[in-house]
Amino acid sequence: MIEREQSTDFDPSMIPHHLEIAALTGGPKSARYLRELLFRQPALKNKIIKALKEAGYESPGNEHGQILDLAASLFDEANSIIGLRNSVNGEQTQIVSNALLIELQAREEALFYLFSFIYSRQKILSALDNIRSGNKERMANGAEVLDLTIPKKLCSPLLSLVEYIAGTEPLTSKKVAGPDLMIAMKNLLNRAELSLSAWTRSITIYTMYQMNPKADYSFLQVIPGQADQIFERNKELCACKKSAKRKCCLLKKCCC
Amino acid sequence: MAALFSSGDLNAIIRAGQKLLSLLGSADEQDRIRAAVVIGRVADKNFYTSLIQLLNDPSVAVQRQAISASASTRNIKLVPYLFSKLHVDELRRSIITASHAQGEEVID
Repeated sequence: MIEREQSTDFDPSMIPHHLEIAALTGGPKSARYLRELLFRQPALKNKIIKALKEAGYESPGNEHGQILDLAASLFDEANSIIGLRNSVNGEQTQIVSNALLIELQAREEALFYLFSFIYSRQKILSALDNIRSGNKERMANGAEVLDLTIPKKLCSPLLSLVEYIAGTEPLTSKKVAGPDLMIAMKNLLNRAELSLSAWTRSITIYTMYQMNPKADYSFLQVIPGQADQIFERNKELCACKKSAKRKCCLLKKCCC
Repeated sequence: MAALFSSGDLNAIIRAGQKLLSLLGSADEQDRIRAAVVIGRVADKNFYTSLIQLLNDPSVAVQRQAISASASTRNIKLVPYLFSKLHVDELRRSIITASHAQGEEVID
C-alpha cells in the first residue's frame, strides 16, 4: 500500500480506501501507516483518528506536540462550525443545522480519541461513554474524570463543546431571514478547510435549491471538490439544463 | 474438485488440475466463475497465477469471485492486482475485505 502510494501514477482519491484497509487490518504496521497519514492527510483526520483509536494507538512523547496542534485545529473547526450553525438558524434550514450538529459530534469524538493517545486511554474513553449516555449523573462523572485527567487549558474548551452539543439552547440565537440564509449556506459550502462531510454539503445545496431554485449556483463550479461522488452529482445537477422543479427532484433523490 | 486437490492422491490431483485448467480456459463465464470458486475452496497460496488470470478476466462477475478467492488464498503477490481494481465501485467492498485478509504485509 505504502509502495503504491509512492508510485507516480498513484491516484490520491484511493487513500480513503487504503485507510479503511489499514483500519480493518490493525497491528503495529497499520498504526504506523495511519499515524503517518494523519499528518499527511488533514482532510481525513477524523476517520484516521478513529482508526488509530480502534488500533489501540498510544502516541510516543515526542509526538505529543503534533497531537496537541491537531487538537487545536479541531477546536478551531468546532468553533467555526458553531458560528456557521448560528448563521443558518432559520425556519427552512433545520436540516442543515442538524447536519452541522453531526459535524460537531464528529469533532468532539475525534478530540476525545486524540487525548486518549496522550493521556489515560481507559479514563478518557470511559468519560466519552458517560458523556454520550445522556444520563445527567454519568455526564457529570465524565466531566469530572476529564477535569482530573487532562490539563485545564484543554479540558475547558472540550467541556464547553460537550455542553454545547448536549444542550438544547444553541439555536436560541436570532432567527436569520431568507436572503441572509442563502449567503450563510454559500459561505458554508465555501469553507473547504473545514472538510465538511458529503452529507452536510449535499443537504446544504439541496436546501438552497428548495429555498431558491433560480439563484446563481455557478459558484459551485469553483469549490475545490474532494473525491466525493454525492457532491459531484449535486454539482452536475446544478450545472445541467433541466427545469428547476426537475433539479429539485433529482437533488432530493441524490441526497436522501 | 477442491476435495480431489486435497486428497493426496496424485491421479486425483492431476485429474482435478486438468479439469481446473479447462474451466480457466473456458469461453463460458460460469465456468471461469467455478474455477475461482474451486481455487477459493482449495485455499492454496500456490494457485496465485491462476487467480491473477481470473482477476484480469473481462467479466466483472469472474473478477468478483477471484477477489473473494484471494481472501482465502492469502498470497501477498495478489495485492498489487487487487489494488489495481480499487477504483471500480462494484468491486471495492470485496477488494477491501480480501486485502485486509492478506494480513499486515498489505500495508508495505
